[in-house]
Amino acid sequence: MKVEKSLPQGVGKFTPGWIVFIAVAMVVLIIGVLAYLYEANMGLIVTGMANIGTQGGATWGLYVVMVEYFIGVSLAGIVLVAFAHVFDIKALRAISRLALLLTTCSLMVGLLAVLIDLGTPIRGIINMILYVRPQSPFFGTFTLVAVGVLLSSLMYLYLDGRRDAAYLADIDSGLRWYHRLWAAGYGDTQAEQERHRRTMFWLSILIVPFVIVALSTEGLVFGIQVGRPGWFGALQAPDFIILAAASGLANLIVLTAIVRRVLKDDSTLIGPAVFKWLGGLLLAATAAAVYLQIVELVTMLYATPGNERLLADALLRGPYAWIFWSGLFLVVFGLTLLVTQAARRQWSLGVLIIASVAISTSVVAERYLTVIPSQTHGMMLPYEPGSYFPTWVEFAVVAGMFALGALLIGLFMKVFPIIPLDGKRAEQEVLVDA
Amino acid sequence: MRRTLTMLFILVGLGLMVVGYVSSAPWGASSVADSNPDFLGAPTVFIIGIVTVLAAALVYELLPARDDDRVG
Amino acid sequence: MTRYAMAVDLDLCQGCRGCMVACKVENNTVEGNFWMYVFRFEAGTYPDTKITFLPRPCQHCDNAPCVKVCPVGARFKREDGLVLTDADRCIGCRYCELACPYGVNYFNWQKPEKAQYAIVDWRDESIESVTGGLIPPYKNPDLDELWGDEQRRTAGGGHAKGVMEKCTFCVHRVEKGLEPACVDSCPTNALVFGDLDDPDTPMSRYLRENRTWQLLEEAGTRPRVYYVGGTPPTRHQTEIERPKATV
Repeated sequence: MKVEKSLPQGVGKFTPGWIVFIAVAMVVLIIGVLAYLYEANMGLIVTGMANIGTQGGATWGLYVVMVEYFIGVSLAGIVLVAFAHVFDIKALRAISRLALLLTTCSLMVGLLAVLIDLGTPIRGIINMILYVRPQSPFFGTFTLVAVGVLLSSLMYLYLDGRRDAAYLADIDSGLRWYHRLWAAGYGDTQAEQERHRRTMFWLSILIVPFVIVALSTEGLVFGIQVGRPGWFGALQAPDFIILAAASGLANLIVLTAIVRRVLKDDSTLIGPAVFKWLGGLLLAATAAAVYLQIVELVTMLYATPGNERLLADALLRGPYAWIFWSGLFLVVFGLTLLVTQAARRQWSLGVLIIASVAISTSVVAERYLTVIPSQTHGMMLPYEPGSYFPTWVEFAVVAGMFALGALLIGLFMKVFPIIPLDGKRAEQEVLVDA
Repeated sequence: MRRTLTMLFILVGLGLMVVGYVSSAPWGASSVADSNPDFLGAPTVFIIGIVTVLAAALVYELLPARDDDRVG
Repeated sequence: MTRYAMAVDLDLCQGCRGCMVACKVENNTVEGNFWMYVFRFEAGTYPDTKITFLPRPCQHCDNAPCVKVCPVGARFKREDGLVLTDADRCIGCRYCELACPYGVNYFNWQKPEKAQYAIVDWRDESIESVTGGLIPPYKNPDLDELWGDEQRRTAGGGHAKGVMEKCTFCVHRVEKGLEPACVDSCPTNALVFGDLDDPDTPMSRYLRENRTWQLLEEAGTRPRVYYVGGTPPTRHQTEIERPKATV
């Protein structure tokens, strides 16, 4: 009798469900690409954006909202994995690869969104490489985030996966060449394991402050603008980081639940301890986010200087009120759900998912309220207030961005196991007649 | 050997970052010089510095060292 | 050293908006872009209303937030004080537009030929046979030239889809020793332009002889445009007769 080892966790196996998922994602992505090509040809006039001031529009619209959102989401994965390495939290080991993948894919999509929003994208890349000025907050986005954080997370992913790659390289499959390349001669000796642990420890210690500084520049993009009521303020950078943590963890929870569902037989690899940790961390991040929002609300209700009065009215009672209050409701609702779970010491997956979706949606609303109202209702000279609503082009492109992220994760799961094997014999043995 | 190379990567990387940063356009809004780097592509030197510092981790983990074969 | 500045006498300004038209013709700005803009304000309620006018060119600030945030150095300040935009380097991120407290920046959302005023159909055959297909045919040839010691394409508007533009104090005219088009065209001489480092220019004399204030002094931008007479705008004034064109 011959025993054939096959790749674990559905790697290399194209199930009908997966094919349907990829097909749908590809269709949405193609629609997004076509919408973008239309925009590149006609110019950004096909979006809902217009110049601020005399033209009464918003010049940064849904694309920049998505830039902030996606780059924010990328914070959680890498910081979580660093945290797990430094404090040796074994329970989080199972989702470390998924968390890094979320960071990498979300960051790539976020940076793509920056290019999509530029008036001249190709010239944008070239001129940034040749000329980018350190005084501009975009310097941080282009160097620290686009190169530093992205490469850090890719490197983390690579180094973290070498052991599993070496294990998989022993299995005869079509992907063997790829697994061998990834393993790069990993011998799984005691010395190598020790060296790996040391590398990951030091990398984790240094990554966290680096990532927080890099992503704070995203908040500083808004915070240092004296001329924009509602933006200028020291709170923008910490606000960006805290909302990033909350949205990132929320997305990670939903993604983990989906992966667990998809893996079926291997779903026990992601145990309740994982969700307990994620739920607890999300609770902390959301509590901080709610705290910031309440401080902001109290300040706005107590007193607003002249220029910000129009903005505050627009947020509390005017055209943005429905977004403001529903966003606040969703984040408080999410927090309440998490607190009840923590109090009962029982983390129900269904409740966690509902809380995560609510919190994630609330963060999108918060990002929108950061970017848009200060443009339409935040002029220091007495221009008439303006308005902005995205067009089908913007919606199609944003849908394409989500599809791209999902596609990248889905494709990765077919070439590499998403849950670290860690030496467990997780291959499926198939008995074949001799 | 591996440790030395790793430290070298880190120091060279940090050095490149410093050189790249100071050679890029200076902080200021008072002259044409504030809008140009000292040489074309100075920011790329900064970026290469970042990559070099990160590569130090790869060097440390991937480079085989003779002393390791004696252990385990 | 040259130090250009502009003065606006609000007691002389009648709100005719001739400066807006002169700027538009001189710089070929597209529809909806008003580098020089004149606010028409109404304060109070009928019948006790008061109408005031406020010309608002680019302020060419000494501490320009738009220069500080430009990621590629396309927006820069010259030593003589002019804040200009290099149309060849601009990547269209629109950060300068958001940094400016005065709202003087305009982005080219589409190909400029498509956004020009459609007074006539420029693509009509009978018209193209006369204009040679140029849109608009009255385009100022100076606008495509490189200007200043820095030799950058900074004059005029409508250079390309996807780049920013704003008032240049008519750099192509100033380089030739002329005044900006708005100053030149004002029927009441409400606009004054000149070198502050030369004490004999009308501009320097104007500042010596009048009390001045500046727009949004609290923003710390240190503008180069001085206002004489009138009062700083407040939220008690509402804008009337704003332009209807959007992009």
